[in-house]
Amino acid sequence: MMRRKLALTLTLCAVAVPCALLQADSGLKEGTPDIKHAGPMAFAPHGILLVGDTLSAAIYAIDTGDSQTAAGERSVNIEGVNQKIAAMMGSDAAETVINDIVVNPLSGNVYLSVARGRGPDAAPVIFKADSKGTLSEVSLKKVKFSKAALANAPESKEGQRNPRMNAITDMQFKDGKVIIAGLSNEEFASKLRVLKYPFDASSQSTSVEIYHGAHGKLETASPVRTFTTYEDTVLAAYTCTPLVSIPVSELKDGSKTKGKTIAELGNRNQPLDMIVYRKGNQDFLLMSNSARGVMKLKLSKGDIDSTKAIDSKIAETAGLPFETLQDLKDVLQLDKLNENHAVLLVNNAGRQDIRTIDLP
Amino acid sequence: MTKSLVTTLACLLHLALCHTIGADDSANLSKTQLQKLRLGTSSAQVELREASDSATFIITGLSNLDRLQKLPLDDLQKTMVVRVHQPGFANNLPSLLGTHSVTETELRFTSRFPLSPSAQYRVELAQDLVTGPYHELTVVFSSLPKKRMPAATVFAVYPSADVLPENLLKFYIYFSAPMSRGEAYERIHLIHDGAEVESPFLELGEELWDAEQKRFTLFVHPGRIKRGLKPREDSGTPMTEGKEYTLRIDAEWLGADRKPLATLFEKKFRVAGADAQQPDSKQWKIGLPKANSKQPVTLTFDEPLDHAMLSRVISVRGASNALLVGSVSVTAHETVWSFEPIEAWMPGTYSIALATNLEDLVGNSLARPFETKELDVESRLNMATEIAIVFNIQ
Repeated sequence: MMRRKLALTLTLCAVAVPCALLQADSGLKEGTPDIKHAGPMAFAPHGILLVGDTLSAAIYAIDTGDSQTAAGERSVNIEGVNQKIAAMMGSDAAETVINDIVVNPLSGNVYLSVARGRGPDAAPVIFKADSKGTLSEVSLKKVKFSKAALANAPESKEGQRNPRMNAITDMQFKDGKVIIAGLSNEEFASKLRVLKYPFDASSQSTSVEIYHGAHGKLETASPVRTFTTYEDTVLAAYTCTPLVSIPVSELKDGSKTKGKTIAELGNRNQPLDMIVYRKGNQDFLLMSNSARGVMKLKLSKGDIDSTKAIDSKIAETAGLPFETLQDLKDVLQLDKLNENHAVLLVNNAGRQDIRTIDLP
Repeated sequence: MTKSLVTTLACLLHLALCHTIGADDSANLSKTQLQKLRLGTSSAQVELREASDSATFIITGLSNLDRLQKLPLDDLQKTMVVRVHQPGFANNLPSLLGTHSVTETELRFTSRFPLSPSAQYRVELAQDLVTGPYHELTVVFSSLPKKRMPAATVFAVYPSADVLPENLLKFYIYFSAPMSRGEAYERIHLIHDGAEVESPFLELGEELWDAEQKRFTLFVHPGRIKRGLKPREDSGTPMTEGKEYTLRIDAEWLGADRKPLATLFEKKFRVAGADAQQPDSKQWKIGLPKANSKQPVTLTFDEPLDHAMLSRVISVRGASNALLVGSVSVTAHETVWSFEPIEAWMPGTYSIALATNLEDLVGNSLARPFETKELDVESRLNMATEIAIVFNIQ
């Protein structure tokens, strides 16, 4: 009887994705998360939205309940999404900041982390956009959630708030781990933090110092601005602009490792966001930049491993080659919608649009 | 009934602004405004009650409330819609998030968020949703003014010296009041010889503020400081030894209250050679207090250190390693640190604990230089995280 019941449950899980059994050990409890700032986001399995909160120095895992698998091809397109969100919040676009967009890989819905206001008391809000172009607020009242504090959270001093903060610059979920990149507003630190997911009561992030060791044999601390994962590798763009690879296996507590420079992304430019996808039999990295448009690199694990680290004066063509896609301008954020499409947040003279494109 | 409610028919309004009740300039009191309107032959009124976290629009005097009470929630939401009002524009923007309710005497809408002082709001009311056709009536409200605060100013920039190293890594900018996020890099300029230095700073979407948004951390672009990287190879360091520069902060930078700074701020400085030396705690001089006094213990450094970290990463410990409570001050252009205890020093042994991530102005820390020959893993792992300076008071 037990066996039959289990077999039935497994069948149901395979067919209908919302599956309480799979989430039974996820440690989520009902309540209202005390999020102070909704920053970078990522999705864990089963529609669990991970939200990075720089002000609370914590990561929240929130059950969105949005775990129905989308049928067929989907696209999400909303012109003036910042203006529409502002109107819903009774504010204006100048007072509305979209911090991140992320696609729920199950439903294909796009989630937006938003600040209502630009001051220290700006309200954090999360919106959802569906394929009909409908925007709705993701309520954070009485939701199932868990929270994990980041190690070395700013300590409070009596009578005053510690001004030190670690700004969370990017976050990814990979094989049961949440990987978080950040930058201190004081020391020139260069730490990736790693949390096991599901979180438990004692969840503490481990910390890995990442050095940059590929220019003239000199080694420096190098904060990571944005990153993604590809097979067993973290592909990270440093704030000082090189693209580097770091084996996931080196992300162990207390370790101090080096990224290998595999491409130089150019001067007067900041990488903003990146995704990995496969087209035909080829893998690609797509990366948006502040000044140099959207870049596309052919990826293969073999090439990453065999490429000679850039360790001398930099030529434009050193490392893995990339092309700049001329028809994609002012892309602020991007995420993979499905096997064939990506979703972009595009700036259009102050108006921001959500746009779905074919993966190039 | 299912059609969109809205075309603004302001000309149809029989609207009289009656009076404002309880208008108050103080920020946190609940505030009420009232407007009367004519619905056919009857009159109704719209009342706005503002609270610190929401606003409630209340319609009274409606004749069809009993029918509204029977409506499904989806339809009730269509009877009364509140939008941000943009005069002169056909408004196809979504309505405010919030909750509707109806009683025997009133129809209510409570907004999810408080009203914005910079916006106007339009209440659109279906006169008779149940029988139709219905008229859309519009009344416009503005949030009542908030208490005016003095404009923010820049009151300090660190490093405070007027001679700075060529490979300077960061500035701290202190404001008198909370500032607005999102425009920092447009408002800060590095000027040399009347011209702006191009792309000197690290520009991050996640601007580096403290929690109160009164201190901004500005990193000089590390790609232009580190040797061998393309930004530096192409453009050189942002600052050159022997030249004079101005760090300019525009008066247009908005405070959190959306008011600009009181005035433009400039810090002028001259650039000295690059600093490749780590701070060396063995070279520091310690100034000892007298026993049974509350005089400060002081450290005088061999070079200026990071202003923010000096207040955070040095602690004083007494017997049994107990942390002493007191106040820290940093003076002499960040070359002198002093600690004044709350309780008088007793004779005995004390120690000053220094976290080795304490940096100088260019990112050389006690543990490692900003740039160093490649280290092996063992060397990286074996770096001490704390140094103790022991002293005795007799």
